[in-house]
Amino acid sequence: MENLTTPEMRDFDASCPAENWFLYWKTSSSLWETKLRDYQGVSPIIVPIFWALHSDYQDHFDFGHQKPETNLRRLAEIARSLGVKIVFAIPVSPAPFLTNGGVPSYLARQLSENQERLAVTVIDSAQMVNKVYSFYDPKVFQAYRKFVYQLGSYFSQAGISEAIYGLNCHRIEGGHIVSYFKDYSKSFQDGFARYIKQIKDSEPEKVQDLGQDEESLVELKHEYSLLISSLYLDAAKETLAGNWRGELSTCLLGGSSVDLFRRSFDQWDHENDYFRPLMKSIVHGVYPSSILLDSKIKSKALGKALKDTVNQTFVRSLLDDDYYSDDSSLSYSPLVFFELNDWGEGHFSFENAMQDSGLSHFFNSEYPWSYHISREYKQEFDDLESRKVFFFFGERLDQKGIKQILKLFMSGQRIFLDTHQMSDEVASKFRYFLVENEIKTEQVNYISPVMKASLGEGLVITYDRQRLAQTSLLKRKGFWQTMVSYLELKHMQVDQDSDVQFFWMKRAANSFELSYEEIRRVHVYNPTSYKKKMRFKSTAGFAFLRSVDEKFVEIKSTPIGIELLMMPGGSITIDFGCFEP
Amino acid sequence: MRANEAVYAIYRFNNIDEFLATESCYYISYLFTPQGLVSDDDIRRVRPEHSEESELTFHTKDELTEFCYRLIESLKISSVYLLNTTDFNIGIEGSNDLMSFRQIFHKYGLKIDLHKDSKGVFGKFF
Repeated sequence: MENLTTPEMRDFDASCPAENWFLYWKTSSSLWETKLRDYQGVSPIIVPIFWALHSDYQDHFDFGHQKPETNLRRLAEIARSLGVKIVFAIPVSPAPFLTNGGVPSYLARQLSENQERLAVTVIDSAQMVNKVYSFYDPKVFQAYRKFVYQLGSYFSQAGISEAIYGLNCHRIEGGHIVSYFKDYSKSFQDGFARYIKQIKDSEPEKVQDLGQDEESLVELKHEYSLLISSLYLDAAKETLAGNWRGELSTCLLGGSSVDLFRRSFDQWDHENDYFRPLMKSIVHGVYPSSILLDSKIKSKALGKALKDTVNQTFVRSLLDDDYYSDDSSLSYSPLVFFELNDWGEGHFSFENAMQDSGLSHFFNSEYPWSYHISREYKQEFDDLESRKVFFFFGERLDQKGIKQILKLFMSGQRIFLDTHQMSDEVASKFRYFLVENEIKTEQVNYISPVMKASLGEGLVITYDRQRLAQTSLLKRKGFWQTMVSYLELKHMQVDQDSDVQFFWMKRAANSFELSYEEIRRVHVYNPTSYKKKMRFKSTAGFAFLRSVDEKFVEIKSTPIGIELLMMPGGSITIDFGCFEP
Repeated sequence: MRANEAVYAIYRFNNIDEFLATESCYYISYLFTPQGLVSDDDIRRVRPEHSEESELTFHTKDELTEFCYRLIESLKISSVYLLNTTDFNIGIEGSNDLMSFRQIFHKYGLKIDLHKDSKGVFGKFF
């Protein structure tokens, strides 16, 4: 018989709305133990600290003295007693999943604005409208500094030993990952005007061309933004030094201005729209979070994709927890063929560089999400995998940078070097190196001037993305197909209907799989309302091992490969063994 | 896009920038319906010169309004809610949930539609 009483509302989602996030103020402190005991997700649990909860009014701080929900020591003790690992995260940027972006209401004066001068606003998982307030208001910073000082003292007095991260929240705006710190409001403009006034005296050369050059104005605004953002980060870092583990960048799915409109109309809002942002965060090494999305939209393919991608290995690698990294080679991690690196300081748009050269289109069609973008290049030579192909951008290189690239080349790595706007100094250093070491080079003019230098297994191919940008997308794709074909990358050929989403991962073979070099796992999702097909063409060096987690999918083996017929909301995971044919 | 649904347009006014030598203009930042963003193809039906990279700019408010009327006629939509970013930001200050958020366009926006007895877009101007 059906239960005719009013269904009981479960508030689990409110305190644990996404992945491994725990919002302690969303539930009574008397329920913390139950919630943490019942938690079955990945570890550690991230506990963001809600500034406004601990500071209702000016110069007043509560850490369990009045409201039991502010007692972080108790929370840490409960977690320890249950053997649940938690880490704290103190926002160093506006955090839009918090009311007013985390700013206490007595300081919420100036709305943060995006590039279009629209108030930065999100719809949270409870369908409430959260407005984000500017962090550029000097009063906000002064109060923040006091708060983190009090928090630091509290942590040390209370003996809280749990790690704490600086939480920098991002969203995807117009295809770019943008920090919520980025602001175009009056508070920012006023602060920037003060900054200009200040550097007019100290560094006049910086402002002398400002009137004629839009680019230098943008660069200076970016510099100012970074300066203020570092003030917040440093304030938190200094006062919480004992527990500090670094900065954690997270990308909130559903947090862009278009998402605000999308999510306000049921007919527009669809899980398919969040797959790209999810995958984009992962390839950018930014922690994706569905904290703003409601549980309904995560109940099908998107929910599975979040579980598959934001897994234990991924979480631990982002939190840089060495303790857990011992068995990482036997856990699945994203499959990366191409590593795109930045070397310089200031702003650099990987998106624009990839669009101009046609790399975005090429990757999307041939190697979707099988690349990784690294903003701060740091390479441990011991960790080098021979499969990876490195991309560097000449305009971002200095003498030290080119030296590192040449080291990589000498150690047998394969490198693409974009020579666009590469300084003469760096270019001549590169040329001298080739001549001095009598390295064999070949030069052709194929859309862009291309130079190939090889030494043993090491390979450098140079190109000019500006020249590529002048040709059609089709030609650019052809260019990359030709270039990458030299590298003989081992990858399965797939053919799928539009909007079928998939993501490759890999792990080392275990002792029962010794006939394989490694295991490749592909997660496939159909987030649409239509039936979709996908085909894995038989490829030399790959053997089908197993399919797992089949949901609304028919899998068929044919002479030309494996065919999937996916129902709406369907998903499947397939493992392939990878061997030397 | 479905016939008879409303289109929402958020625009802003760009002031003359002597430094960067830009003219003052009205500029549509967001153009959408309850189904999604208005496609470039749909915009081209009203502005054939429009491309993916180009921005929807207008020298005067009348030009912007005329664009909205043409949009209604060409795409057979019911109306356009026109709202500038300043008014949107004022509206957002007072909205806390989805219900009040959806009201912003109705409360602060300018509703543009063709009445049944209208002779079309030119009837509005001549």
